[in-house]
Amino acid sequence: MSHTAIDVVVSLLISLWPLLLLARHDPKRLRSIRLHQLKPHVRRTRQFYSAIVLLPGIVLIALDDWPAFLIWMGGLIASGWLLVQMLAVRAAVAIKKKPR
Amino acid sequence: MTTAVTNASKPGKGRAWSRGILAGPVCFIVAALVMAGAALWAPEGPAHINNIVVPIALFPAIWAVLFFYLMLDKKLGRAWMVATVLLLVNAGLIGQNFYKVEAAKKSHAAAPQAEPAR
Amino acid sequence: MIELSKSRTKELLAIHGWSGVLLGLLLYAVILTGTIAVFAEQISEWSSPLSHATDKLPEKGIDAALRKATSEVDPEFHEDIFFFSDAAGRIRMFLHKDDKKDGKPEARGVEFDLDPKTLAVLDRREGWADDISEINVPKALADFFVELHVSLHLPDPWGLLLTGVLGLAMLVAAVTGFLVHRHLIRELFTLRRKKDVLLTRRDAHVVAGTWNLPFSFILAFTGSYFSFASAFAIPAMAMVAFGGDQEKLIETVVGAPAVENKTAAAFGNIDAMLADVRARSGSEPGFVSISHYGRADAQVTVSTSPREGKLVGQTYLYKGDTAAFIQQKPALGVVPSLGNDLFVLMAPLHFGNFAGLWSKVAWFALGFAGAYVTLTGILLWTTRRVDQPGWSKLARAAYWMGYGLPLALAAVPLARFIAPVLGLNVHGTQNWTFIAAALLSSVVALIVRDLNTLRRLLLGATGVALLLMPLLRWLCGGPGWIAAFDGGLVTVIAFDLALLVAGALCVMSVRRALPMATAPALKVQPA
Repeated sequence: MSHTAIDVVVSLLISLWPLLLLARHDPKRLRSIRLHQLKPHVRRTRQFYSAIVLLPGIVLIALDDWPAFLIWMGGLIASGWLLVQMLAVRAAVAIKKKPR
Repeated sequence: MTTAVTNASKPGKGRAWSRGILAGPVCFIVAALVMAGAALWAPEGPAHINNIVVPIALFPAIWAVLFFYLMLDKKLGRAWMVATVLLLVNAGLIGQNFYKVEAAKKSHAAAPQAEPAR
Repeated sequence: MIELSKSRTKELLAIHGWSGVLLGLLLYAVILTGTIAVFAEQISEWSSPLSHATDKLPEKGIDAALRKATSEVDPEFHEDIFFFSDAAGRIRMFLHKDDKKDGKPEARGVEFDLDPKTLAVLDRREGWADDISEINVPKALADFFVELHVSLHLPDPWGLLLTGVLGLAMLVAAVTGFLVHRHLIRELFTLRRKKDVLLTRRDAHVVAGTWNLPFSFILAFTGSYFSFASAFAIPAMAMVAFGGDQEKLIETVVGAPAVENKTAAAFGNIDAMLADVRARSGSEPGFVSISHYGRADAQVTVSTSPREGKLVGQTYLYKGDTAAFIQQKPALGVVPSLGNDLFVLMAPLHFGNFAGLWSKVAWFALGFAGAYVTLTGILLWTTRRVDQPGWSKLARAAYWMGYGLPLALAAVPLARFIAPVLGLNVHGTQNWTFIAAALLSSVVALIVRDLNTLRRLLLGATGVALLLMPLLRWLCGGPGWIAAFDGGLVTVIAFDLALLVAGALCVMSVRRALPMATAPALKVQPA
């Protein structure tokens, strides 16, 4: 595996788990689907996780590894969008199953 | 009432058309002239190519800045004036350069004819 | 994100909406074909594979092949020669001179396709550059998608001008979309899927658009640069600064032209020059250009692929007659400059080809998202105006283009494989098949009243076409998976699998019914 590929994989692994947490506990998302089991993150928590999401990108720029940075950014964007879609489908299914 | 409404909407329609023409074809032509004119006044840079390459590379940015200004300036008249000034200045620069080049070509062509007379 | 007055927001929203509505359908076509064109190289490998896989120039043998080629063509075509690894690894070698066709500069000469292993001549094509590309069969399929993306298959310069304008429209939409969306970050994860169709459509468009914003901007900017640069910017600059002489402009901008010396001289060993490039650069030579072959002023310019961890490659100059190294130079000019830096960044940022498959996959995903944003924008516009009958035509057109274009594109590879078997011209058959499939989907779009049924029909047909592709490829003489595996033709297998998965997903999606907005059901949204 090339070192660009390794940089990208490691960067995305670091970025994607806080992204998942941000998405799951996003206040507006939870309000819109009226999901009360999950606790929405407060502003400080969201800022903390956002910083971890962006940290690998900043490191890649500092290392002058622009190919890895661009692929990381593209991977993060595509994954984020896909994550939002998947969570929306799950929420829709959960709402349908909810007893009235 | 219909006539009043129609008459009142005419200046509005006229303004909309004027804005559309200004932000559409006029904006494109002015941006193209600004890009081409930059070859004459932009610094050449260490490789003597910046005045050619940079305006071409940044053409979308030149157009976008001009487009948003011409579209969003509340004073339509002022927007037209800015576009006209940019057009005239850059067209003038380009025209002046053509004239200089043509004049240089003519004097270069005339010079060998002058020599045999000596 | 950015606080704007109500009237300003309204103006920007109008600009955003109208730029999308007026040009959105064509923009969707450009983005979708661009997404496919990211894999142009792989499409050629899949549709016209050799028995062995390679994408590099061989270390030995090109010198002998070059001398043989030059001996077999008119010496007037020694003026300019270039070669590089092209369709499925075939070495494409074009010996030509710059000429004028109908008053416009155009190259004319002889082109060879060489086997990268044996250097045997696989094909020879002669004539004007445009005509030669029309009979280049290995590249036919990839070129179809690339040409559709670059110029919508319209003649120059109109096609390029149109795609350039579409790029500017995308730029405007990206900037205005960013400015009007006050809660960009707050709504990043909110995708409501309720009975309110308008809300669902709004969220679908906004979420996709927000996530894709940085790349929409990059792709729009670089895309319109590429279109306008060749359509009018270079000729315009040549007119202003070089009296209309485009060749002089290019020579000056590229830099380091050799001092003219027409004395005949033997040409140096190109294999040795390429070996020197590999040693100096630590990467593979990509594009090799030779000017004035057989003269004392012959010059060789070699561009390399980017080194690991770099976005752009390097350029090396050699003296053609002695094979002596002259200098390493930037792509443009002889010393580093801002102009060169901007120029060399455009290609990797637009094509996503700087890190092999990794970057291409990322660019493919982002291109797909861009197409989704464009289409959902038009559907949002028409859903908002569902009570205005005039806009229903646009809604129908959006469905026709959104689902009909993929069907028409999916029909093209089928033509690529069938045409040679039937003895038909490959390029022509591809074009007519595309047009026929597009017309068929137009007729279906006019006949089928229910938009959901229309979507299902077109999507289902696309799925079937995708599923047929690997089978047809094999039946028309392409390698089976075992032969492909033996020859290291991983792309053939990977592409077949990807098409089967995509086809299955399309067919499965047919079962899903999308909620449609009707005028009585439309809820009025607060401003």
